[in-house]
Amino acid sequence: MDKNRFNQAENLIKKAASVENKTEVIKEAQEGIINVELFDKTLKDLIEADDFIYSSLPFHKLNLEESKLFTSKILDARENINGILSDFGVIEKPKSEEKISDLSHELLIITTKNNFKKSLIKLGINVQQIVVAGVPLKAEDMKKINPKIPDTALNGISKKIEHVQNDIIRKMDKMNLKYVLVVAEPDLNGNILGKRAKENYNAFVNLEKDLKDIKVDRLIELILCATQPN
Amino acid sequence: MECQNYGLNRSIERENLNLNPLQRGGVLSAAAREALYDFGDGYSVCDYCAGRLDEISKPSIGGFLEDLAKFINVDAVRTVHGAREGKFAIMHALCDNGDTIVLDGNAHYTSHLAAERNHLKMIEVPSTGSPEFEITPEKYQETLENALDTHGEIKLALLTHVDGNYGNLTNAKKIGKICQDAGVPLLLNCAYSMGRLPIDAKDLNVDFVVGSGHKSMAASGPIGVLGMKEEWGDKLLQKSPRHQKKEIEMLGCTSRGAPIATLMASLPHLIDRVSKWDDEVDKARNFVSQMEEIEGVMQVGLRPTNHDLVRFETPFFHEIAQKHSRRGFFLYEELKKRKIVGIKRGQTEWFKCSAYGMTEEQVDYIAASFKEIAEKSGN
Repeated sequence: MDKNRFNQAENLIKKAASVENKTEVIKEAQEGIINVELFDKTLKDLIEADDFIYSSLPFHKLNLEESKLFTSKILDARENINGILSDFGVIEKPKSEEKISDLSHELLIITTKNNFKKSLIKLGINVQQIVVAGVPLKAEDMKKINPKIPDTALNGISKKIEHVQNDIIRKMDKMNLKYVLVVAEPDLNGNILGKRAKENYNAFVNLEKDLKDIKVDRLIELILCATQPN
Repeated sequence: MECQNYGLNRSIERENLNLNPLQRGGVLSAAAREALYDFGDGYSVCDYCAGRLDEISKPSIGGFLEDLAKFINVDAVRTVHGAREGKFAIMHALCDNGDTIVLDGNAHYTSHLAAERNHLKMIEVPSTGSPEFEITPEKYQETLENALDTHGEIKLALLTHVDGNYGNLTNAKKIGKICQDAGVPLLLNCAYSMGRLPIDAKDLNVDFVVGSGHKSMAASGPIGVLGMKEEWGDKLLQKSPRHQKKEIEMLGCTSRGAPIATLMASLPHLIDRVSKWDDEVDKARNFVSQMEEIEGVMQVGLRPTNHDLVRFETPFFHEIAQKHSRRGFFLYEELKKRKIVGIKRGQTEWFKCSAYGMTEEQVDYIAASFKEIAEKSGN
């Protein structure tokens, strides 16, 4: 991403993420279900933050870089705790879901994994705006992934590829989606998918690890990059 | 029944710089703390066990043991409950009641207890005595040869790789060769080395190595490591005729749950940190040199030190203690005020300490604190 685009995205993120400074109202807990995954994640974020307690002995003073890392872990934990509290009606649902939904209304997201699709939905992306491409976007790309693939298998995959392509076009037409964002792991599959999506749909491509743990801020940043081209 | 208040809380490690050598290498990695949360329950690693702990595939204990064997370059490895249990198992498998073993004069007390529990006699290789307390290969050879002459057969020799009193790193490779040439299997006690510095058992010419997860491998105790050459597998890993999957010397299954999960989680951290061992030695030497700027403080043991555990004789602080209103407690209390712990209360004549894993900045702070106390209390 060039510097202008980065600054533009940064400003938009700040704007998008700004929340009215209301006093939080804590309500009485309602019946609910504990999101165990979120609970575990909270503790693990705090455990990672705990490491700074050891490294900063004996006075626990952190430099700027360490402070950023430490507080990012605490913020992650806070976001998870807010999610758990909102599941019990103790606080209101985070505004971020609405924000993401608004910002992404003209966007189609192509990804390679179902678990990432789940994370996107959880963060507020409309399920109809996501395509999981378990195959590349062109049959010949399959040969790059697996040069030894037999022709019979390739025929079967070609049908799947056709189905994915149709799904992309259908969704873009039906929902009037103008932009495409590819989010995948930085492996061979992700690279090939990204390259082809850039060619076919002028997609904004983002390849990074641990996508299922993507944070609200990072997702907003990607949406803005994909929907605010120069 | 109402239980007593056991005082079950501990903030010492989170609030202070802890110089106790026993504690330094066992501080958990972040990954191990996460594993502790996931695997704290009793039999947590046993959900998918088919009868052999070392073959469990989820979590992959089998895979972990393969990696661990590569980490210390042995043919076979098992986790045990601690280095002492490893030593006991080796002695038990190799020796009979009344046999004699040879061991170094700096051996840990658990080496003696393991031998006593197996009803073995011990011949000690003396150290050079004060101030270095070195175990030399020459003395080891002489003692071993005399023992062979007197007893005919010595079934096991034991060497402490790094002792817990002086932090002396022995010449294991040379002593390993001496034992190999004499046809005596050598057990290397790596409780203070495995997980801190690189261990290559084959290069060191040793038959067995034991390590301590809680002392030097960033794991929750109790857990140890027992590695061996392939040829000893038949004896040490012999299976029960009645419970055919179970290994007798391991009493079936050894360390389970949190200890093994934390050790597994810490292995990548250990692989990384042993590669930085030279930096740790430099840091220890720098610490010694700063401490010795205080007149009446001197390091004993091999010089320059080759390990993070260092022992100081401190007549300077001891003299102060004789006149100080807090007597011997003054040093502990002054250090505690500066958030430094790990020197025993009342101890001023000598102490051992380690700054393993600390930053240069933290080491400098500790040394400066000692100097400040010396200046303040010496006047």
